[in-house]
Amino acid sequence: MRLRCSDARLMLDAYVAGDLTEETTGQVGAHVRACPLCSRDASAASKAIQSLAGLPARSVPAGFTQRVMERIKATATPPNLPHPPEARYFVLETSLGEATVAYMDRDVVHLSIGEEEEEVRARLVRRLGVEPVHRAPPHRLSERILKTIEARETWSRARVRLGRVSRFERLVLEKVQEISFGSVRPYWWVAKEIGKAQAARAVAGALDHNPVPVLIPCHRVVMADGSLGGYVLGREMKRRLLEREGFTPMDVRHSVTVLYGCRTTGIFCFPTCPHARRLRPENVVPFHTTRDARAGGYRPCLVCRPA
Amino acid sequence: MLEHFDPNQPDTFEPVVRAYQSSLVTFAWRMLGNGADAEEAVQESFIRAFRHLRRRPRETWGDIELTPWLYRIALNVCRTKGKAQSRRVETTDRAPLDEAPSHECWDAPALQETIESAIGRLPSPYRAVVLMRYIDQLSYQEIAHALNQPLGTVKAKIHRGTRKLRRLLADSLEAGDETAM
Repeated sequence: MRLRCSDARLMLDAYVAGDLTEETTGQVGAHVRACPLCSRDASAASKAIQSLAGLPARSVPAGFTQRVMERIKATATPPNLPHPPEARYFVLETSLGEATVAYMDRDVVHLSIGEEEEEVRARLVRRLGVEPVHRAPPHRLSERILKTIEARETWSRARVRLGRVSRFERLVLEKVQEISFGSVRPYWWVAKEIGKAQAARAVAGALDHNPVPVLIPCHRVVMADGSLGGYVLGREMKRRLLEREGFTPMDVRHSVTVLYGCRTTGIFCFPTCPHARRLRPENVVPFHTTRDARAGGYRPCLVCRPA
Repeated sequence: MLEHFDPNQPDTFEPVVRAYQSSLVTFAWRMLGNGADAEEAVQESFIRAFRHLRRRPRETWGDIELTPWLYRIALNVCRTKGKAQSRRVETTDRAPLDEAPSHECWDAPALQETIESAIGRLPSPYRAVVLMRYIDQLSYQEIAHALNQPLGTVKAKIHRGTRKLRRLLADSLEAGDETAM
């Protein structure tokens, strides 16, 4: 097949670089030999490539190596020593009381409400092994935390660091972060979700160690019988926090003791699941246990995973 | 080259610096068009490389292909510097194109200057690959590695780059020498 000039030109540089397949090399080569214009361009291309290779290198100034090595040594002097971690804390005035927040780098490591400064310091020394320093609240961080505490934002933007917690506690706390604003889940649900269905009581114990309550919303985990259960910051605080998310104690009870089946889809959810919220009232079929729901031919929702 | 390297003894990094300083300085100079910036960029690149090695577990050093890796670092530093440079007043110690004494056609020093200024006018993504391929003689695979781009993309870039370069050269050579061909 004969190549047209316009096609050959497209491949000319690949041809000169020797990157074409054998077949196209033959075709372009034949064209280049026949076409004076393309042959001129091809030789210009190979000349350009050759002349590039012939360009002299730029000389490195005397002492360059020494200067580089000196700067490298300067960066290397503290050999591998990590920066001593620095913890800072500040106090925020909130509608729930005085909140003490500690952070390292940009991660929140501790939050408590209505706790004495001395207690907080002692706790941080125990937990992180560093003495926290008092600072004025950094603007962005305190703003984010305030938004979360005052429930102006429905999820927490503050980054948290758990520090020294056990693997189990970490799993529990990370799972609880998934429970969104306006939702509640029972303790057994958290246990089931992390693959330890028998460990509901242990979940409660882990949540009692939550270093950053409110930011990790452990107040959204309640007892299976619908009572509130305990809370790191006290049961009264748990009630107030849930109240801000629109829950009366009766609502809480309803949200974990009843399951909503949907007549049209045959799926059952926790009542606070986003899918349950958009059911038409006439399609809601209430169940008391997952067994009842299953017996009724319903399957658990894949989003709120009530079973 | 990294077998003898020990992050706690910075001196063991010197062979790497010595082996690559010349080609990297030349590369950075052509990328930035300014000798002082180029030297600074290469210093910065070596420091970054050293710091990276120090953080990286020794077992994984074997995975590093030194040449493309160093070019990649240098290229990144040059890009950052290039941005800073474009915010400043244009600084270059490269001869501007129209002053380049191109008319004596293929005689060596003049031709070199013509080529240098043509390189300087090549858009920088093309400039980088053309320099790596034809001046520093990196393989396609190494360039692909340095840019973290697929092999085919790199080839196409090189071919387009040479085409552009060839045209830039043709323009400046023909301007003074119509009868050459």
